[in-house]
Amino acid sequence: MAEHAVLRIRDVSKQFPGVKALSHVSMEVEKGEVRALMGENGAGKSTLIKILTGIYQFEEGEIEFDGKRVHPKSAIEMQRLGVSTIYQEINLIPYLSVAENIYIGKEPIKHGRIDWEQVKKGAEEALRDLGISIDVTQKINQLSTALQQMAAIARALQTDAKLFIMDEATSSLDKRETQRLFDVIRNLKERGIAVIFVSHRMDELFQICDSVTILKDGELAGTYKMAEINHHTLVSKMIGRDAAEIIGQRKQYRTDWEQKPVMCEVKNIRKKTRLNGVNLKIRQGEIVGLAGLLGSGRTELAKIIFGEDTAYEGEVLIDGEKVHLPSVRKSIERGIVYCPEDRKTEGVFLGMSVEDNLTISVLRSLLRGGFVQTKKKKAIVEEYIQKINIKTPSGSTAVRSLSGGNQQKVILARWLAGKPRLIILDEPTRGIDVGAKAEIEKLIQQLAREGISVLYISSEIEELVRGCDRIAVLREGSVFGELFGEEITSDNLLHMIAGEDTAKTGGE
Amino acid sequence: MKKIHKAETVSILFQKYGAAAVFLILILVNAVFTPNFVNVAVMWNIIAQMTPIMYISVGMTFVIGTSGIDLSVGSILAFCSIILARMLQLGYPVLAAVAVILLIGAVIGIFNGFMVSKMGIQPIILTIVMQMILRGFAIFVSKGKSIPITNSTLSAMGLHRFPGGVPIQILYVAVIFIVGSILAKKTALGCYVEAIGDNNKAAFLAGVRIVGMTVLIYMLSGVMSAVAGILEAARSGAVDPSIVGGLYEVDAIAAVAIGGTSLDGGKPNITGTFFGVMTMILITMTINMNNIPYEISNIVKAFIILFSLYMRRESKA
Ligand SMILES: Nc1ncnc2c1ncn2[C@@H]1O[C@H](COP(=O)(O)OP(=O)(O)OP(=O)(O)O)[C@@H](O)[C@H]1O
Ligand SMILES: [Mg+2]
Repeated sequence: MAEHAVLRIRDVSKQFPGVKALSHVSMEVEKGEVRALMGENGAGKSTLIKILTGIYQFEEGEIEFDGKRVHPKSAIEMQRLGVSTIYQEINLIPYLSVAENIYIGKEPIKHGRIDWEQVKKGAEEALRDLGISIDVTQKINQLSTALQQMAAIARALQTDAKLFIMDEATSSLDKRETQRLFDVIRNLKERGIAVIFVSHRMDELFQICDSVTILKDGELAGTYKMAEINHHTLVSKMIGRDAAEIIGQRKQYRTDWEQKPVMCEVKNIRKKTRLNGVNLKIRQGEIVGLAGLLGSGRTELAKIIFGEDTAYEGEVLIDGEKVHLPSVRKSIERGIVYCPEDRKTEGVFLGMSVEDNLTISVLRSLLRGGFVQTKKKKAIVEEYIQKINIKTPSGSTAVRSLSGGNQQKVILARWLAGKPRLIILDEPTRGIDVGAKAEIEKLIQQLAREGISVLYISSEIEELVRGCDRIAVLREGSVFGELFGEEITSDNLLHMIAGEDTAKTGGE
Repeated sequence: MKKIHKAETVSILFQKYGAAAVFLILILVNAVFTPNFVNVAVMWNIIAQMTPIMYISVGMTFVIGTSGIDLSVGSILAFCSIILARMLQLGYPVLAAVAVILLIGAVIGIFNGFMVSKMGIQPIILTIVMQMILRGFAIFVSKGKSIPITNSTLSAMGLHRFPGGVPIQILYVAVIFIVGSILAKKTALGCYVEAIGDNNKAAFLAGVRIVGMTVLIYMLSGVMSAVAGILEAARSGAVDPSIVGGLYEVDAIAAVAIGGTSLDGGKPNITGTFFGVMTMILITMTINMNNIPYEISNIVKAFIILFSLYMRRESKA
């Protein structure tokens, strides 16, 4: 079998100041194999990947790629050798067009010039293979996170690689796009190309991967054939204790919010072509899920409620009163907060400490006589580091050096720390491991019981089904339908998202 | 993405202690090579000379923290000190004149901050325009001639020496160092500045008053420049509208950069700036005392800026 290995890693270790990110990790990936890389947030997955792609240097061990010893010093080197990577943090160039981003570094040349026609056509085709048809001349930062992710995937697929690495490439995709990507992966596999696939969504791993390598706190916890291991064992290996308590529990239906007053209501919201007449009520203490396909306007609606987007028609009512001059600051003062989907550009302050990131929006309440009360501040930080288990060496560590999932937790904590009345969560568990996800879901339930309203946007059907009291489905710019109580099942929700009436459910 | 290896650790260390290190090295070099350097009187002179730049640099530290820049500081200083001198010449009391120019500094700063944050004008362009306009005003108001300072109260503020030859400026330096450090570390301001500089959009979404904060920060810079104008006038026998405060923005920016505040925004590091200013002055003094032409000192400064930028190149992804 060793004959067919495209990648061999032996005893690789990596030390960051104060953190042993990897210690003696070994793995082998064969041609045409799809290998899952699994582990909790901060287990070392991205670090291993960045070592493979030459971004980080490793201290110990050896790497063999395509039969040759390599010691990658730069990303270009590994690209040339045939490794194509989609990184966890989408790294597109915001002010270039979609097409330019897809072709960057490999522009086709005709008569000594870049052949823009070809760039445009090629980009369109690459996206079409992924089931996307958009104007490729628009700037990349005008696209939703999911579409940007698709563009990053399209870019990576433009290369002839022997190994594709996808670090949480599906984290902002919904079921349909994910399936498209899987079709592409299957195709790669047939051509003998290997894939390393990182995802925190278990069902995806079981669908597409042949085998799984599990990391636990930077150490190898084992490699298994997918067929030989079940969901439960896998999670147990990953978290290092029995998984029974955390896997997929459906919450109890509550009805206590039904009599509560409406906290937030939107009436007939219209916005250019995206939203045309959205009506929605959120009661105190209610968890309302917002489902829909990519581009169905969920994030747009969230930003309107939050007051970030002020160019809309229609009304937003808070506690029955119309919001006249919407603004982010006023919303926050009223206790309406929005945990953004796009962590990197809208959420995190990479250079700032965990502490400052976490407390920035409650800082004003921590002032006494103009001075920040450091003790109180530290107490809040400690509380949330414990509560949702943020893995960081200390509160003063720069957020930049946290793993992706832990950065997400910091942002989530920022908004929870403000003791909001309505919290809008846009893909809150994106990139968060199963254990932490369960913790966060539990925390949201508890908040709702305390009377906080939650608007929950997620592309993960199961997550919505597990946690929501009611789910509204956006489709073609308005609320297409709602599901309550016992009606909330994955099947019903899927059908409704796809545009069929729940009455007609019962098979595809 | 970024590379992590030893260079990163070095650059982080440099960011924290670089300015102090450069300062100490310069002292050592001077102690060995410059005749008469280990001389208390010289030290006191350094302190007295650096005070206006110290004030400007503290304002600049915050401006740069928000990833802005203020190139108008030297001209604000010039304009303010000319107005001050003129008002004293016309017989206004010192207190009134000081109040007026502090107000002028504040208004100019508010204007700068407003244009940057509300009108979205590039700070570098805006403040370079302001630099020209205000220098022009200073020359216009004084008809291009220097104005003598004859007011004894003001001169006492700049020339008084405590026993042992300790200049009064030591008090001013202490005050601004303490106030600046408190602002940066103990109030919410430091955190907001850093947030705006780090990720403007995220700061907005986290409820930080971007416009208000930016205006406040540029106002601070304007007021600091006005104070520097007072200090400058108090030390001199006369203020020359076309010379006073010239190139101070370069010294201030250099001091901030050496001091470890990232030029594309980040934590305002007042202690670093303090040592940065000392370093700038020391370079000038070293060069003067060794009879090296003045022009050379700017070249040396430029290299020190480049060096410090190079040292920290990888601490930001
Ligand atoms: N640049 C860095 N500097 C210091 N420590 C780092 C750096 N990058 C990662 N780490 C640390 O290394 C460990 C592994 O991080 P890594 O990003 O590989 O985790 P991960 O498995 O990809 O997690 P996630 O699922 O959250 O993406 C973490 O403890 C993290 O804090
Ligand atoms: Mg990762």
